[in-house]
Amino acid sequence: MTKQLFDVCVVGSGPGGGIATYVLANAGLRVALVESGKRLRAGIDYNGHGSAYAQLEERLKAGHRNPFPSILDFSERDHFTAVGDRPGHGLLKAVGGRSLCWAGHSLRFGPADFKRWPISYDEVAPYYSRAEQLMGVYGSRDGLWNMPDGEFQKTVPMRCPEMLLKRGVQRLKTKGRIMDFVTQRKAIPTDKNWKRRQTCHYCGHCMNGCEIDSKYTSANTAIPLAMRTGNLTLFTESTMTRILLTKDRRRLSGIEYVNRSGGIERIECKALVLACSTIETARHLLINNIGNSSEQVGKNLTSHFGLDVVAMFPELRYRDASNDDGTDYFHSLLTGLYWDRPHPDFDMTYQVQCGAGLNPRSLAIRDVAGYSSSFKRELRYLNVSSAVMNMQGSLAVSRDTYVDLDPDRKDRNGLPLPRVHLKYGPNDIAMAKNMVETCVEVIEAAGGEVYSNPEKITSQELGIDYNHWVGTVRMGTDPGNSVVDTVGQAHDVRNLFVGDSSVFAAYPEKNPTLTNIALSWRMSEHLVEKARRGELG
Amino acid sequence: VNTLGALAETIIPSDEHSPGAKAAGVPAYIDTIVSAGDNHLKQLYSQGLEAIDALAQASGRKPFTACTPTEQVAILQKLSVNEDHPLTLEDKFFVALKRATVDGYYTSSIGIHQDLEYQGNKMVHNFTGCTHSNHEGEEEHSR
Repeated sequence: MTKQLFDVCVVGSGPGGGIATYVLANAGLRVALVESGKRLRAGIDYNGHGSAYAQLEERLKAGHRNPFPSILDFSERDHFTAVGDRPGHGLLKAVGGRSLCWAGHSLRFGPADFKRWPISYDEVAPYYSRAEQLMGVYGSRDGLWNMPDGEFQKTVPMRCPEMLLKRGVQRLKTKGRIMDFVTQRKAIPTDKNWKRRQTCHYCGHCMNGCEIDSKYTSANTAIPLAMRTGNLTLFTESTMTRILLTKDRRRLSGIEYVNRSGGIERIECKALVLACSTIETARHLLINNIGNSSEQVGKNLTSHFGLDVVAMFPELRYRDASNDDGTDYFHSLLTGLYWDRPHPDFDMTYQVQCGAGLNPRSLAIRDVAGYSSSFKRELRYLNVSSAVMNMQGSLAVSRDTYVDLDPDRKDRNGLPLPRVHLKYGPNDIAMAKNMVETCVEVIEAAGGEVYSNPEKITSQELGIDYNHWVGTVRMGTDPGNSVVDTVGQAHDVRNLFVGDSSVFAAYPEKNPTLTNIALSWRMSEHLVEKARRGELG
Repeated sequence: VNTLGALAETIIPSDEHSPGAKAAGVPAYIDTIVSAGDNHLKQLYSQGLEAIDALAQASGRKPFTACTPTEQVAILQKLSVNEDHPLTLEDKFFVALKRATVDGYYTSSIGIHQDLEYQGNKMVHNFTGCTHSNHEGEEEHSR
């Protein structure tokens, strides 16, 4: 066994871990980044530009049913046990983690959202700004009070069906409804004079991996910038198997990991940053039985849930064929719902991501009745004239939704796999009903028709966003009911820090990644400060 | 495979707008997914194809491939009635076959570019989006 000594060891190279290495290495700390996966090369290991049909047969032979090459082929689908209402786990073992295959949606949480947190919007705002500048985020300045504007590059316009949805929202607003319809904000640079990465060329493959590295990922920005300092050592295909504690169990001294040839190695460090994902970070804390005197590790798990409503606009049936790719599917967002006054039937709120346009990777409408030329025609018309409204609501925190260890199933290193429990409750069902009602209202006000719409709403109809899990290692001021403090430092083991979205104290309807990056940045600066003061030992 | 091709072509035929399922290579696609599929799928297809020929024999005393396009459409008409609630073997086979035909066709070059007239997968400097002033909301116009 070899031993190597570092100031800080960061485990996990996704959005949170990546930014931590960037901040720590730039501050002069010697950093080890431990990542289970290997480096994937944009445009080589994943490539959405390649036409689907050219590769169909090869991919079928290779066992992949999806005819489009996708970074999601690398996900570990079986690395957890699902219990209850069909939870999923979007684990991607690769340098950059899930930041390789996110849609880039970058929405600031607002002042009202942070009311449920032990920190305020104003404390996080400067980190949002830095994150947006580093990431390259486009958006329009909409002046929404609870989704503040950021450091935006040039916005990307909506397509025809989305403009019609906007028309519907405007009509409802004149009747006194409180809601807004705005363009999406994404970590995809659009200003031609921006130098850090290539600007977007609007090919629409963002979610499955951007093959020109325009969309922000840890692997194309944060980690290379950290590397450039000379202070970062990257350990790929290295899986942490153990967290090493001092004899009194009040501090940790390092980790053990399995290297790519199966050998066990050791990294000694003054501080450890866990950023393995909401599910994996909780799993490692549970396996090592550390940081859990509050017994909150794995609890408070939440995510976004929702369903889709499809709108169809008869006036667009014969519109000219246009290039609708853009920056992947969702160019617009219905938001501002129940920020001011909560709905009487449910707590928290939701937003609706809207998208439109022909997208052969995922045709919005395939289930058209009939056959023959009339079927072909109808399918074509429906797909150019439709818009998909994808609802995203905050799942209520409950005792029935949590992460624990599977007593039976183990990974290849003999460690228990995580078990993810999910159960929808009455708040979720009430919110889902309102989601559908709102969407139908908007579509009808816009002069469209509801093409498809869930008939009745039960937990069976709801889908969980398995990339949006947060909350298993929540932050708080009271060590009795939280795992980390308001910075992200563990209450129990003071040289343990958490840099992923497991620390979220509450979950608004907005997408998690930008806030994850801002919080990890903030946590890393505190870590640097403690190192300067010699508090890390 | 011939019957499969004829069925796929009846679901998505060649017409004045675009070539159909056969030209797009759909039969070979279906053949690949069925041969790579599990026994359940293989059974559905072999029994389904037999049932189709039995239907054709019953109505015209010849196999499906020998039927005229009009006769083939008439047989598909029978099959597609219960598309929403497939009950019999024939219904289920039709639903599976149609889904596979749609998947194959709309991931082919012909389906994507000629039929759907997809304009994307291009490198562009600016994304134009909607350019129609009549799609903008009233609020914007009055400003």
